[in-house]
Amino acid sequence: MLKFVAKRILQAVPILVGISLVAFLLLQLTPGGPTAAYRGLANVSGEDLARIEAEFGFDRPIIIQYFAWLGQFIQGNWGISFVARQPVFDLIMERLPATLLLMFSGITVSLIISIPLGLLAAIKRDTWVDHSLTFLSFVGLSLPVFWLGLMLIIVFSVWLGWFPTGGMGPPGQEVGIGTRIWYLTLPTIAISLVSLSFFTRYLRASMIETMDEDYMRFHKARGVPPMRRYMRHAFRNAGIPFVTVVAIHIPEFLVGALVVETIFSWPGTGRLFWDSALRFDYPVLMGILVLGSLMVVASNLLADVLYGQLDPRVRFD
Amino acid sequence: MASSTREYVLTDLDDTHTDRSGVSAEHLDALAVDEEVVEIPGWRRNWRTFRKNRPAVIGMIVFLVVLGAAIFGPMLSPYDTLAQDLSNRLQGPSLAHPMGTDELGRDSMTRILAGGRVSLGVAALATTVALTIGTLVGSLAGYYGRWVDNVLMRFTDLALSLPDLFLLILAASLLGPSFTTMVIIIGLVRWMNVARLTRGSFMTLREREFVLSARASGTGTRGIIFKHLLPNSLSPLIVAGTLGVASAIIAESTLSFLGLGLQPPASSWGTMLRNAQQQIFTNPWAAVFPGIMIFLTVVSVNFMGDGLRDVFDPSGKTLSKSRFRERLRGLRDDNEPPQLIAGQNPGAGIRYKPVDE
Repeated sequence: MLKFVAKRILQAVPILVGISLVAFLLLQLTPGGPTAAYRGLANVSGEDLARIEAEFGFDRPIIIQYFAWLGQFIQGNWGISFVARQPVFDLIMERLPATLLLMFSGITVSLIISIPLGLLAAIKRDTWVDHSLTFLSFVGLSLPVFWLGLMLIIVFSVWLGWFPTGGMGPPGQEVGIGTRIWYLTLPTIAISLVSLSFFTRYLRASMIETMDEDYMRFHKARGVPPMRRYMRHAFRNAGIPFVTVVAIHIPEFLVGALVVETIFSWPGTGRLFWDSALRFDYPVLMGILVLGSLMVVASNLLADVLYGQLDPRVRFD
Repeated sequence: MASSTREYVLTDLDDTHTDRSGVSAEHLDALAVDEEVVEIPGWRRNWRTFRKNRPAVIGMIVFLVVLGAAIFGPMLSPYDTLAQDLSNRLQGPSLAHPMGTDELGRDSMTRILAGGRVSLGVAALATTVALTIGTLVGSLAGYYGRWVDNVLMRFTDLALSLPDLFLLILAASLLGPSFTTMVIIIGLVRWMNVARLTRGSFMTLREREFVLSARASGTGTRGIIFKHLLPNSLSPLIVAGTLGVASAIIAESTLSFLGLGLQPPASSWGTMLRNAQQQIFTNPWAAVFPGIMIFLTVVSVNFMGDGLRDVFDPSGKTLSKSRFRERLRGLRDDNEPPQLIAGQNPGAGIRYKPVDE
């Protein structure tokens, strides 16, 4: 098992190198180059600038520059924000918990809703229940997240006044868990609807596939009661690919968070990314892009490992 | 030569038609004698399969209506997209203005239909870009195999591991917003699925007898790719292209909504929603209609794509478990690229791509 994980991590290395190369080359493309942020600082003299450039290797050939930059990057030295004049790494880490909270609540809600719906659609296959759920999941998959967010604000905040229009809590106060959930409700709905439609559809397909297997017919023939057949035999088998798909899907919640945070003024990395894009704050953009890519690579790895853990038929050499 | 043609037709039948019940090998042979005879019922049968999917037919009708309205609507409308009428500002829907008016008293419906031209135009062109790049990369990888395949597919994996919306925003911020930029950058983040599909079908088709026979009868590389491999790989691409339009519409409107896509006075549905966001207290209707148009278009295209999948790619509809296991088995083979990568699994890149490849 450990060997398999190690091997998969090794296989991810070319991708990681590629990601870092892309980030580095994009940084070269940005106006002013990678040290532009330092140039305008009052307390940075020409000498300091030369020292910084030497530290990152920007006075040397481009390949050396890349390795010097990579060395710094791995140590958490992601450059300085043009706007905030702070280290990019700190800026991002400060905002990350808010994004993770939103992602976590989105994933949880998607699963809580999509699992029963997916099972229901599969069990009631080809009835009106199944057809309406399939139709609804198509509708959910086609909703633009930003518009959904906007509509939620108009209906539930502006008209009905039930929920706040945005933010993580009343400014300048300690936020209790009730208030936090109150503020989380609309963003969570917005971030989960598309994914939960997809999860429902996938679980239904996976269940139906399993229910057609010979062993399911055998269980029926030997008189296993329906619920036990569905839950114990079909769901446990259909759940395996479902779990891996959910794991692969995690980065989509990060992308969703970008849009949702922007609309609901949620102070996370997504909103930071958007702010930085409008202000051309390239070091921050690059940092978050790399972080997102790492998340994609990590969730793929997680999917592989989970699949092996859950399905004893898969063996790792 | 004759045998090669026959084989071609057989393959075509085998790959494209869902309804194989009662079609025996002899029957196929009989059909395959004359290519003309096979072609026409093929299309009719495709239509019959498509027609069975009722939501897909409705989707197609809705899409055609939206498309027609966007093309002809602004011409037929009694209002000008720019004509201001300050005495009729911020009106709700009425008979004179079915979708209300904006903050300058311009007729919203006329503007929304005109905006549809921009949104649909960007989406169509971006999808063309994505299809072109994807087919090119996928063809080269699938045809040449070996190191070409390795390099190109690693590159594809890399592109898939960059979160697309982040990349789009970064690119838009670097290049500055314009119609052309939108088309190019959206095309540049959406080709990976197409490349994978093309490569997949090239890899299997490459070894088929009709290709070998074409090669034996002296067809060059270009002939093999364009006359034999590509035409037989089109089915999944038609589905991917259709669904790609839906995802491109969402991508463009999201970018424009975030203020990084098209800028006023150019107006797409996304820029209108951005404008509407600032008026949600005074004029909430402005946020409703452009969004409904996006939603209607996307949902109709998605349903249409589902119907096309019934026709062209019946096997891709659900992920068969054995296929899933096969993919995972590939994990243990050193020469195979890692199989569980975002985008390859059903719906991995999902938000804008409700595709089940």
